[in-house]
Amino acid sequence: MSHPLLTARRLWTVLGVLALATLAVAVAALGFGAVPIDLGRALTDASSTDHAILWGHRVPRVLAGLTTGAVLAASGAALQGLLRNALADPFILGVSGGAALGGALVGLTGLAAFVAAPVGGFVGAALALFAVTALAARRDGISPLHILLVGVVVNAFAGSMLMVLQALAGPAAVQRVLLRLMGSLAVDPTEPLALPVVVAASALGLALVMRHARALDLLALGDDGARTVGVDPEALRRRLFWVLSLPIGAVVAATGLIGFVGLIVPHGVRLALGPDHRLLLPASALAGSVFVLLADLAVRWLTGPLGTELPVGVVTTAIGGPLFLWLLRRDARSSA
Amino acid sequence: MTPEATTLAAQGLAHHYGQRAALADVSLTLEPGTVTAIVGPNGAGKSTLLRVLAGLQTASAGAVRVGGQPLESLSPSERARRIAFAGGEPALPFAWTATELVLMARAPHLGRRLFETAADLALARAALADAGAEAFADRPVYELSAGERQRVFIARALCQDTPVLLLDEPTSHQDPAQAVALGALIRRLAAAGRAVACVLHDLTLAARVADRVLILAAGRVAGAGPSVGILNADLLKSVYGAHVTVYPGPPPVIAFGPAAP
Repeated sequence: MSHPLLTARRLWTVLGVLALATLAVAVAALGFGAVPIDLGRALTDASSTDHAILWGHRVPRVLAGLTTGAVLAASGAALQGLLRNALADPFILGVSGGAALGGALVGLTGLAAFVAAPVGGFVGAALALFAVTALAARRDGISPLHILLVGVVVNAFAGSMLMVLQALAGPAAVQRVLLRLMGSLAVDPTEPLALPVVVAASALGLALVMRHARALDLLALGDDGARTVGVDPEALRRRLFWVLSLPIGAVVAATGLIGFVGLIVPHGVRLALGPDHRLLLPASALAGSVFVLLADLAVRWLTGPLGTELPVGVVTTAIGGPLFLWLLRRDARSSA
Repeated sequence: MTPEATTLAAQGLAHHYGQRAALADVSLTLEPGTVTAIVGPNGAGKSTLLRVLAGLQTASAGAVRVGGQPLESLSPSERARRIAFAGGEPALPFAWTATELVLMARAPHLGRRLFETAADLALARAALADAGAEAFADRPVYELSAGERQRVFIARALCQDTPVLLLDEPTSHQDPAQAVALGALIRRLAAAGRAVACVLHDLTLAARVADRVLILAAGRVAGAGPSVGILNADLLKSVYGAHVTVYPGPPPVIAFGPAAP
């Protein structure tokens, strides 16, 4: 499949359309929920229940969804470019697991969540990312399938450590720190600073990643090929591993394990628009926001019939898991 | 740039892989407007030499200078504006088209610009045409045959528009007609003032294309000089350990194997 060459005009047109779509889904997500509200009244009448629901629940939840989707999808795209591996994703590589464990560990120290979650998540994500790539490194580079296996192990390790924490921590701490890791966009009203910190860390991280979009393109030439056009691949990987750990760590520690967004969104965007990271990174961010908001709308829609709210990660994994298997089979066939 | 500013000169290069010496005391100069062929048996150190000249590998001894400046004193993008390298085509992740791949060579020239200009695109199209790759310019590179992919990567090196061009076995996947066409392209590039070095296994092609030939054997220079004199049967026989017949031509033909009865 072919696609037109990227120009400034094509970039801004595509991003404009995607931004409008994101806006439309965000407005729908603001209006829809367990309690029906009148958006007009919510915006004009500050004393109404509608106003309280909109600003107290819906806006934070939609902001969390926008941020989570953008970070997971764009960082998935960046990791895929950095590792030259279409199956890389923060969740599969164990980076999200590391971030969740780091966030929980720091959270149990009793620090306020708006400090504990992003700091712990950042350290956990960075440690997992460097550990996974170091363990998967061979003399001739990082083996694409080997790194997925190492990611499985790191994920399992992080998962078992989380269970240990759950067993040791008191019920109040489990409620406060660990349940949020199930993957939910519901924002804790007792932590008003948590969301702004996550949004700021995410915006900063994504902006820094996008500055390296063209260098990520050049990595497609292989490490030697990248060197011949003026990119130092090791330095780029090291720098972007740190940069990516910031938004991934903050988002995962705040909204938990929401799987496969970083895998299937960049894949779909690449199929539709081509592999150029100057477009792929921002387009994945917007499409990721749409995907997570739609998954969260599905959660809220299912809450009525099920009588309970599913974690949003259940929905993204239910869609993303089968798609991942399909990709794995397709890749195995094309490289055979 | 003056000829001195674009000359690539290597002095006393040595390199080891573990205990094995891949290069020992190799010196050569690539002058603007000339083609230098690097030949020799498998494992002689040809590719290692080219990679050291390109700055992809650091020699354990000796120095490479371009325009009088040590290679390691140049920033990565400054080096990429002076030296282009093609050799070995990695499998590409994702569906990059041939034109997109060739445009990547403009990255060291972009400066602070985010996008390539129309002039960059024109250079990419011209490079694809020069390398005989325009017929599949818009196809994803992973769909192409080995020979087609090799020509796309050569076009990428051309599009980098550098005074020094290093090609590692540029004809290894080419049919005879394409190999001759690439030989003619290499001559044209030298005529336009570039300093070209290529590793070649086809000695007939080397004799027709190169001004100078460097023969490597076990990492050492076994012979160096104008191609007419240096590609002689006695030297080649001692280097390759096989019977060689040189038909002086023109055009010259260098044939391996027992002499015809």
